[in-house]
Amino acid sequence: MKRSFGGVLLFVATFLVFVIQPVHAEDRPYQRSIVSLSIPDVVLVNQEGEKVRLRTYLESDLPVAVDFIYATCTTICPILSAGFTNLQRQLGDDSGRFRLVSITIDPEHDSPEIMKDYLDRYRAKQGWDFLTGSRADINRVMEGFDAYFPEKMSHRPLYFVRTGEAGRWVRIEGMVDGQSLLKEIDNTVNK
Amino acid sequence: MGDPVSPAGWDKLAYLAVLVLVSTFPVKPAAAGGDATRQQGKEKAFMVQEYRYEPPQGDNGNLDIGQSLCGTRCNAISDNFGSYLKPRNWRLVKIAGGVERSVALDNPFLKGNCICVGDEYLIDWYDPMVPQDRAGAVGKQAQQ
Amino acid sequence: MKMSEVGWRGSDCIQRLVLTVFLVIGLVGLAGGGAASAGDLSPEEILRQGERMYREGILPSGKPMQAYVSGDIPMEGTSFTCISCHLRSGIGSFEANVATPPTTGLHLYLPRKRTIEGFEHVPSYHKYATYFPPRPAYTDETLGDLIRSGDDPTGRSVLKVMPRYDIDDDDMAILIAYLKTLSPELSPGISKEEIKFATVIGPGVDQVASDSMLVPLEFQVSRKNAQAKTYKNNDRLARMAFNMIGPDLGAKSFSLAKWVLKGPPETWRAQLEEYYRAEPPFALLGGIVNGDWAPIHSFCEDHRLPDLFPITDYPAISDSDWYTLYFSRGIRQEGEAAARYLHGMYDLFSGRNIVQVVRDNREGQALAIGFREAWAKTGHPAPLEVVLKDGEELTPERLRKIASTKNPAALVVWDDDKSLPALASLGDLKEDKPGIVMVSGSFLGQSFWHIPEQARKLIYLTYPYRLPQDEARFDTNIKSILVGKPMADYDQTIIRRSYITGEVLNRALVKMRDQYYRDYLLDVIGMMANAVYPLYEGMTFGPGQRYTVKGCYIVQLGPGEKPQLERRSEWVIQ
Repeated sequence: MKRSFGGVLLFVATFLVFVIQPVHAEDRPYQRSIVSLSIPDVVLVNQEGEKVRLRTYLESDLPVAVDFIYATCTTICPILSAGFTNLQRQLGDDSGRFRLVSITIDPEHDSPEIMKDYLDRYRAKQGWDFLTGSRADINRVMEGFDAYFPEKMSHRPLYFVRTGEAGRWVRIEGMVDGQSLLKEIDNTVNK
Repeated sequence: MGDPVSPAGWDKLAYLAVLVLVSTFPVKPAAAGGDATRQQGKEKAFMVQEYRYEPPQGDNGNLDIGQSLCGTRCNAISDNFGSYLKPRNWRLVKIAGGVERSVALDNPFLKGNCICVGDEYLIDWYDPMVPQDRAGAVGKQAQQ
Repeated sequence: MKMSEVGWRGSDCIQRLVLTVFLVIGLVGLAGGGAASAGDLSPEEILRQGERMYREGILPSGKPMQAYVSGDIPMEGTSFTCISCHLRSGIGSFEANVATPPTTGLHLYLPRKRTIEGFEHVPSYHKYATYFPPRPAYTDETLGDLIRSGDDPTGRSVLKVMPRYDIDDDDMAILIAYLKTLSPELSPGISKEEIKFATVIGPGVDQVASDSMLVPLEFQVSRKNAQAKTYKNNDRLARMAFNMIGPDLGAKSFSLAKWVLKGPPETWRAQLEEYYRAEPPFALLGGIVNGDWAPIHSFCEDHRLPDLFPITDYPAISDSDWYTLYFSRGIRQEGEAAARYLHGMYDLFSGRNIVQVVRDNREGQALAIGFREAWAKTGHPAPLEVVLKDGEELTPERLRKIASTKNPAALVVWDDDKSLPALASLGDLKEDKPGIVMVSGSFLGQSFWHIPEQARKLIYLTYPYRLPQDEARFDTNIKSILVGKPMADYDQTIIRRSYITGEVLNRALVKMRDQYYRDYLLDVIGMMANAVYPLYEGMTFGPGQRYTVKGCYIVQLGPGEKPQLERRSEWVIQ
């Protein structure tokens, strides 16, 4: 009896050590789900200082991918943005076919000028816009995407890709490699 | 019971006097400036959740800029949670959700109204040293 | 080896010797390693090129560094540099659930243990050290392997958030030489017993103003010293402090030296140098002068000395300077807010002008510059300008003439309280009325409460603080550091600003966990969560951000005999 109990304990311990490892979410393969979202009807501002009515902007005919970043972000945003740069490079001259939208979660700091500089650093081409707005509106947008971060330092790596169905988006969380991201977006085009 | 003038009687009188005296003490100790600041300002706070522009009759030429300016207008009348919760002794108690407040856009170049939709909160001053019914306090518990 | 002891416990000299040896070996290795180009470089040049790789992602050749992230995504060093995650001090960071370990020579070339020896429940070097498994010390070779392949000396592959760099041997040697110079020893002003601070007081500063700055700072110092005394006398409390706020912060005292400046600003630099030479502080706190802060700003940049929140309406404006953290961009920020507010409705102006009337003095010019520069970014035609010489009266007739001849959609008037009658008279205009009149709440001062009712709908003010009726609730917080002294004795905005300095300093020191490096102080503040503070509706922090208050309300006076200010904009207008 004791022996089998010890055995179970050993098994459980081994299970815990090997399965539940103290690694970050970012080391695991990315997680993908389909979510229903309601985009708030707010007016944001892009890197050219132009007003953008978000709901109509995201409901365009073009395939759309959205991420949440900020210009002075240290770890996650550069990876997300490198992902967009890579995507645009792979699309080549077709980069304008896709609408890539980065939305700031530091609207106090990220002015059009700063956002433009950020896009230049990432060699953004036509088709990739960076949006800012008032704090209240940006909070509403985060809530609309069910991606509200009360504190920008605790944000998560997220991409949202709009599917063909109204209000339905693919939600990608975690570090996603270039090939997979391109595939996710291609899938929404071909649907 | 002895003669009130006797020592035992004086004891009882003393106790009675103390009781009477203590019962005249205020129940809530008044914190410095508490009552004064409580009277200041308004009773309710309003936190806007969404907004929409209502153009004047028959004039649909400026819907996008109207929506943008209504965003500014409604966000401006919206109160800031932090400015209530950070100072000591204040809390917010949600009393209504989805309330629509119509305000004139008030822009010299564009007519129309803004409908600001939001939640109403009672602004409540309280003394943290006195036990409170915390069920009504703002926070996750208060959100339906 | 306890991290906290490395700085001064006798191993101080040894540590410096060890690092010098590292540097010399590294440089000799470069020179003798068959790399002809690197061997020609002076140590200063090597460090300069290494710093450029670390901070800007540019190789000695001038090309951007190449790397891969998330496996297969190529990335240029210019978009994402070492400084991004490891920060300027090299101590590392924690953001979005990703803990970035230190990359200084001191940490890399020592084995990593999770906790401080002897205190196994206390995480070493920063709170998230427990995320990192132990490893042996790096060598130049294994460090190069890590940077290229992402494998640490135990064979563990680090997170794919860390780029895998494509760097040749020469460039790698330069980068590694630079890493060894990052935060090699604790900054000046730190000893086992004490952290030294100083504050600057300029000539002619009003006594009430300087007292208002000093009282909250001195409260922090005396409270800390009382705490330090307690910990010295009570082991159990000291141990609790050790666990909660870092190995030695509990036991340290603070001191605050006053650097009093005399004479004209041209002479201040020499005086600052003298004070610094006599007793270099860890950082400056606050500071107050009449006029431009620039001389002290440059002094701090040159000495790499942090200054937290000087009290000034005329900060130095820079996108790249590093060492002074300001509340805001000063009074010019009101001009910027006005420009952004008007930009939001520009499409409705139907081609009408904007006219900017500017009092030719320090405040007026600062407001005008802020407005002009923010307006220039919108791409709209520049405003027409009217300059009022110092001493020239702005009469109602003059202002009405400007309104009628130029017919502006928006009339912006940067002038003081003497302009109130002229502004009020615009409310009586029947024709040729501007759509909007914009003025500065600070410049007008208390007189704006007297704007007559008929002009209130026309006049919009910039107001750079939380509204008075909301700010009153924060009085209790301020009173807590006055300890009985009456609040009315002080300048209300200065005392609140200084209060904020104390709060931010406390938070930052606790987060630093005995890594007392000047660069790290600013790195830590940059990573701090936003919080609610008195006076300003929003203060936000971010890596490299040096102006924490980005907002300013546009307001109007409400109706009635005792009007309140009513908001017409958000705090930060984009």
